[in-house]
Amino acid sequence: VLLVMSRLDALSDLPDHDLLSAHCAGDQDAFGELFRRHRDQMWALALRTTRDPEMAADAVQEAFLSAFRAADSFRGEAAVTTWLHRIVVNACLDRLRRTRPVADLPDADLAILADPRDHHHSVEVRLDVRDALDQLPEGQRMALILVDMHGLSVAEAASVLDVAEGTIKSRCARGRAAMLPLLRLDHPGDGSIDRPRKEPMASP
Amino acid sequence: VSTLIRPRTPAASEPSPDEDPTGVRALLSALPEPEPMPEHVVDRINASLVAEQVERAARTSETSATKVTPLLSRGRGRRARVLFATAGAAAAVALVAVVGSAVSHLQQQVSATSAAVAPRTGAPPTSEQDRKPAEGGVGPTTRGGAPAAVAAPGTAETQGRLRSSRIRYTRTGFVAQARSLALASRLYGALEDSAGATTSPKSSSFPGAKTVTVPQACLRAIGADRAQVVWADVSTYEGKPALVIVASTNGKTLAYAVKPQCGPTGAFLLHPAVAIPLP
Repeated sequence: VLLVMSRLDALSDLPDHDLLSAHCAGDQDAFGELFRRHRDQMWALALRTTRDPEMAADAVQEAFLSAFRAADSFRGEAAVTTWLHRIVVNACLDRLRRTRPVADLPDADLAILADPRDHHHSVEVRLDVRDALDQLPEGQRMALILVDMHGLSVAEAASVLDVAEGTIKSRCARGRAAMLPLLRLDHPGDGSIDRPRKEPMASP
Repeated sequence: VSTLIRPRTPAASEPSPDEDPTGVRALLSALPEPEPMPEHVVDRINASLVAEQVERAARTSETSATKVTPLLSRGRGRRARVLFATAGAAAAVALVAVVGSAVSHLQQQVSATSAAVAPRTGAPPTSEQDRKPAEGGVGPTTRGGAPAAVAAPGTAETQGRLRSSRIRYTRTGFVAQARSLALASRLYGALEDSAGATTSPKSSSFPGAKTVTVPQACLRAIGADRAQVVWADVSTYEGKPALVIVASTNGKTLAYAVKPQCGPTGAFLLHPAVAIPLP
């Protein structure tokens, strides 16, 4: 038992890269430590991306299993966390695309939805911040989730989404601009923004 | 331990929320933080990682040219190290549970402590019942009230091996958890045979492990009475006492969760039959 405990202590001190290397070399405990270390962060990312605890759980499980199996493919050019973020994001998006194939509205449709002169919409539709975010095209939405909500740098988000940094900056700017009218639907022209509801994210 | 990605700590070179003229960035960053991963999700993912780890170990074992040596003489081996706490029974499990790592889950989920449930056929396990079907070669083995049990050729699985794994089965994680049970049992069955248990039915490598027959009436009630290989686990399902049965028939493996009273009076299914993918 003492051997096991001292071994766990030793693992907890290893950096991510070393843990992944140990896992690839056949260590049976290293990946468990990676999971323990990053599970909450990946869970948060999956919840922010899917807004569905069940889907998030499935996606995170699939992502960690994929990472377990594909650890040999990790080349060490990015941080392990960046690599994990990428796998989790892809797992979430795969599920979202299967269940919500029409989630991405073209920009033109967004403009119609957000038309402040459309008083019918302004009465019936009141979008909170997350609902407005969900109306954005996938690329813009993911850029805002990673940078504005999850706190990644532009460079990190670019690595996660496998696009150029300039693309992330552009998507963020366009996404924020697109959200603005969506958030003003019931206050056309008054310049104010609906504050986000402070309800905690659902968690089973 | 350095972590390069830290939520909500954008680099200094990043535009601050104040530089966003729309104010949307400030709104998004002000949204509440999600709560930590729920325990049941942690358990479920740990179970799937355990299954994956066991599968990987089995593959490594299969591809290795060296013969597996008895566990009790492998104090410095990797597998022996992992199984060290397994053999340590309840005290070790309790201690590693405090550690709270995936390793502890592995130890808990594959530990093979004695199952206290006796067959409902009324006949106590005999030495013959305790004998594994693969012992002395592959072939039909009649035991207790159970029908002839045939171990799959070339394998060492045991019909009706009951374990108490401490896996807390859940509806959402059932497939992965049942799979981990089957994979762990299969691996340990092979290891036990290689460890010399074939010559002595009582010399299990896992102290406290006991092989008894799953009530045939129970298997019949769930439609698994023709299974060639059965693993059973005395545990809980959604927090309630349960008998989890994994039965393999002609290569198709199904898992069930029933109330522990499963027997001549029938079976109360807590989780319906679900296919378990096994390599």
